Amino acid sequence: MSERVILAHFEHEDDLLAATNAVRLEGLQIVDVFTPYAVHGLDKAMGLKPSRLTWVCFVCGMVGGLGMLWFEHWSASISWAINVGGKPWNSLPSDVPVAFEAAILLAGFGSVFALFAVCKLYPGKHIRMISPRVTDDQFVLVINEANASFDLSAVQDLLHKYDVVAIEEKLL
Amino acid sequence: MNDTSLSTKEQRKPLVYLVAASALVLLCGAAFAPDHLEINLGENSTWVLWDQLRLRIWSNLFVVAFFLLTIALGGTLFIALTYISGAGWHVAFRRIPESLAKALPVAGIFMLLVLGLRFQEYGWHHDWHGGPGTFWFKELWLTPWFWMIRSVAYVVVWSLLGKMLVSRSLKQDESGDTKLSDSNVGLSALFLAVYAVTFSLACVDWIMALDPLWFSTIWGVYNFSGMIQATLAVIIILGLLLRVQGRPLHGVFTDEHLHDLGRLMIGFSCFWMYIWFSQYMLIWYTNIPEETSYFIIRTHGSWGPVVVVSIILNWVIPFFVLLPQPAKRSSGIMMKVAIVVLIGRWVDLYVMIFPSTLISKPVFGIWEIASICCLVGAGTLLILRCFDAKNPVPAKDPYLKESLHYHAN
Amino acid sequence: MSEPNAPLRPPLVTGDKTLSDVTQDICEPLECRPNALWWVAFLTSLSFLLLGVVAVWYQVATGIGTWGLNKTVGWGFDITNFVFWVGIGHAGTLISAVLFLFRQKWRTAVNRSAEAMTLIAVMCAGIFPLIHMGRPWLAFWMMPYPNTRGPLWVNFKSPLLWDVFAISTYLMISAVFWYVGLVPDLATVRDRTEPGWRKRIYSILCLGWDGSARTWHRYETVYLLLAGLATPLVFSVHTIVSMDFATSVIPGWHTTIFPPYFVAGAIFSGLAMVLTLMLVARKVMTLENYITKVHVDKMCKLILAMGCIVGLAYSTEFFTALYSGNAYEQFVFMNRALGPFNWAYWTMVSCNVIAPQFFWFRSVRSCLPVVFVLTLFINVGMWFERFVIIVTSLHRDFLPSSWASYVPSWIELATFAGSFGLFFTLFLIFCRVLPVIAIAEIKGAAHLKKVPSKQASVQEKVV
Repeated sequence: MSERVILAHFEHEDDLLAATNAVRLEGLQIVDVFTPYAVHGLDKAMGLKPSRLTWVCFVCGMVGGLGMLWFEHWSASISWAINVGGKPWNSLPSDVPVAFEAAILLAGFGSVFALFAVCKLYPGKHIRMISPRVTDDQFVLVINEANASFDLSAVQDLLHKYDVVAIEEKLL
Repeated sequence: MNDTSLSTKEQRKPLVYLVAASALVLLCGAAFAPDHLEINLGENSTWVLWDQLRLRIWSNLFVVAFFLLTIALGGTLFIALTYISGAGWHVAFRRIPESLAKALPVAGIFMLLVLGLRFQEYGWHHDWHGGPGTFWFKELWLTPWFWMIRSVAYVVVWSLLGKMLVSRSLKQDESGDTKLSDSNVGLSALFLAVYAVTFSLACVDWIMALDPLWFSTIWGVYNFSGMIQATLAVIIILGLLLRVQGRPLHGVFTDEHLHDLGRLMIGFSCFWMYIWFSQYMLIWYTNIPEETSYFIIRTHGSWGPVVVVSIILNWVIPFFVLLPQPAKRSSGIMMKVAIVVLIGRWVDLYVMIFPSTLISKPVFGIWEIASICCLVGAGTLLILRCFDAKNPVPAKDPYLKESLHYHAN
Repeated sequence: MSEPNAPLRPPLVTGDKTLSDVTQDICEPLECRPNALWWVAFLTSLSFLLLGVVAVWYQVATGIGTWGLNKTVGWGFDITNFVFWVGIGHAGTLISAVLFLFRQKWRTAVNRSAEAMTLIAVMCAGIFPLIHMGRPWLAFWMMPYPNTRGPLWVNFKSPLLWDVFAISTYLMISAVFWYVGLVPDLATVRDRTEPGWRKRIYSILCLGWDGSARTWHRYETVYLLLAGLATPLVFSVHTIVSMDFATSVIPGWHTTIFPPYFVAGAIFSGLAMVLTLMLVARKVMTLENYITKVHVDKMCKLILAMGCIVGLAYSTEFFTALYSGNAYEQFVFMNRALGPFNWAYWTMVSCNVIAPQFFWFRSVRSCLPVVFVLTLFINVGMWFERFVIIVTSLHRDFLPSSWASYVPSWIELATFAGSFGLFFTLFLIFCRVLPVIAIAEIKGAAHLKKVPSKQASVQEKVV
């Protein structure tokens, strides 16, 4: 896949946010934005939908908690019923702590591994950084040029309004 | 009064009638109705309409008074906690907890009146000398006059500190002096220190002592958790009502504030459940007779379902409903959950107090309905009176700008 | 979109730093050779660690009869140290998760090292119950796996088993939380490092992070979720630790306030330890612009609040012992204050309740040497709290004929010293190889000054 893109470099998050918002409102296609930190409000400026990873977390938590509850019940009162301190075999209050821990453990690992899977993050991944300063102090807005109605000079004028530091064209 | 309050006299009239009528029902019941009433249904069968009526009405009044008092105190606590943590997000709607704090003296006097009706009963009975648990300290601690003096002292101290906190905030509206915020931070620290000790003791004196042989060290924390949860619910309801078009907090109380209040609500629901469970679990697990008395009556027999209902209302519903992010920003959902939590608070207090005042099985009838009407009506009237519609926003608070532009995520 | 700071808010980062200054300042220590001070500290810690290793080897080989325990005092140094270390760990989670949920932005300066501290402290804690098993190589028996003994399952009604699950979950979730927070910073370090083996290691560890906003968006979601999970987790862990005691029928151990009281105490001790370490780190690693006096001030206030809560819990226990009229309960508390271990009790009270009261004064909070000394007192006091709870509740039990005393053996002392050796060795290594401040988080939280933008130039370049 090779597409022609414009990279607009910014040095301050306010400029980036305003430019991203303007570019999106112009109807241009934003490929991605690269930032050194999570810029507050950038998801709205790019028009990203809320992540569905919360549901992964919820489902994993429920599976962990209810699964452990069932296992405790099964092991302590069905598989090998054992009398501990005269308490009923199936004692809900004493099953809660371990079930709770299992819920947290599964929810946490589930959502982190889902994040790694969805974002394709894995050890040894080979990447080409869009700019070496993107993990330091630069913000890069990547705009797709493929659109037939793309007007380079208009886009440049638009970006200059927001203190763009450098604009370069690239084939991705 | 009329020009600064939220409503006109006309609008308040039905509420006044509601409170007056329900109070009249309760008073008449306490004064004239027979303590025990049963209807003979013929051969060997009677229908017990009510039993121990005076005790039941008093217990109802106790729930109402403690409910109101803890919400007023909770408002003060909310202000103090936000000052001390240097928070800025809540400033836009701080007048809501402030109006709750202003209701403290009235709610406190109501509480003292209810307590005064039966304060002799709290005392350590002299014919119990030498009985189980008798000890010089308990006799001293539960001496009726000492007990009543302490109760008055708690209410006076809370009311004074609450008034000081609110009055400095109001003063800032005029002068805009940021030093007033600083001095409120110091005052909040004082309030929190005093509150922590006095509220723990008040809960022991007023509620734990209803069952004089029973004790639990987590009791103060348990009451704190219920109190803060109910206070958040009240703040949410008031915020939502006051932000409707044409009302004073329109455009001021934003979805962002609602979102954070929702987050706090879900957090404190879990905290309530955590404290409830800690107390239950430890008493259940060790099974020591002098401690289990509290839970045996509440979890075995007819009180059992009431405990389950209180857990569903106070934790299950708020937790699962508010878990998705959009729910915390939805006026409709938040309003409903806040109402559920307030009902849950009533059930929690009901199951805390009624079995201890020796009412052996759950009762719900005209007396409970009258007392709930009294609670809702009196609470609403009190807040209408205390919320100052002329200055609905702390206009010169240094953090106001931050609060108005606040983003919850 | 940057949020307007109220005029009263002091800046999070002082010294007019730009974004690249932040990167530079935090990454610099990783790129130069350690100084003499670091080596001295490291070698000292390492020698303590070696002492601990020898002691552990000896007691595992000989048996835990080498400890000073007896029939009456069946728990002593080991469980005291276990609870102490778990407690230290809790402040890390408090700072990284609870303060994150409460939007306390100042946490960004200290959260990374506090999380590292959590991880290391939980490792230190885990050692003690492992040794106490006597046959640590059979530790896997604590896991419910299908076996040939029935299968006979573990006892899910035992608080000690709850502990196994709680501590291991806590260790794993803290590790994941810490690592997820590290990933973007590892990418920053990777992009600064010259090609070579170091760069290769950082590249592998940062999982190919490229700073994409789509990734950031999901990353933020998961980070919030982890904070939301870690908060109840931190409560549950020390609650379960407290239940090791509170589910018994021993006066002084069984009391319903234990769960929240232990949680508060844990956070209290942990905050004191974080502050101790931070005060050293800001001086040694010249991070004064990041860990400012404002941070120290806020930490002191939190410590004061926690100290008051702990004091309230002490007095609640005392009051209820009096109020309940339970003679055994009263005896335990009198024995704590006036019995043979009264020195431990009064050490605990003066360090935990009285020492933090000095933090009411702004002048004390801003005098860093005094703060340092006070946090050391609190560290000592919280260790004694666990010692007092465990030993004084046991040593004079219901039957006066079996009353006994407890003196730790040198093996126990050496193991305890060894756990400190492990803690500081690992912490010092962490300071050398990973960024001690969350670079990406502090950049997002602090509103740094805007660099005057250069004249934009359009480069036409086709690759």
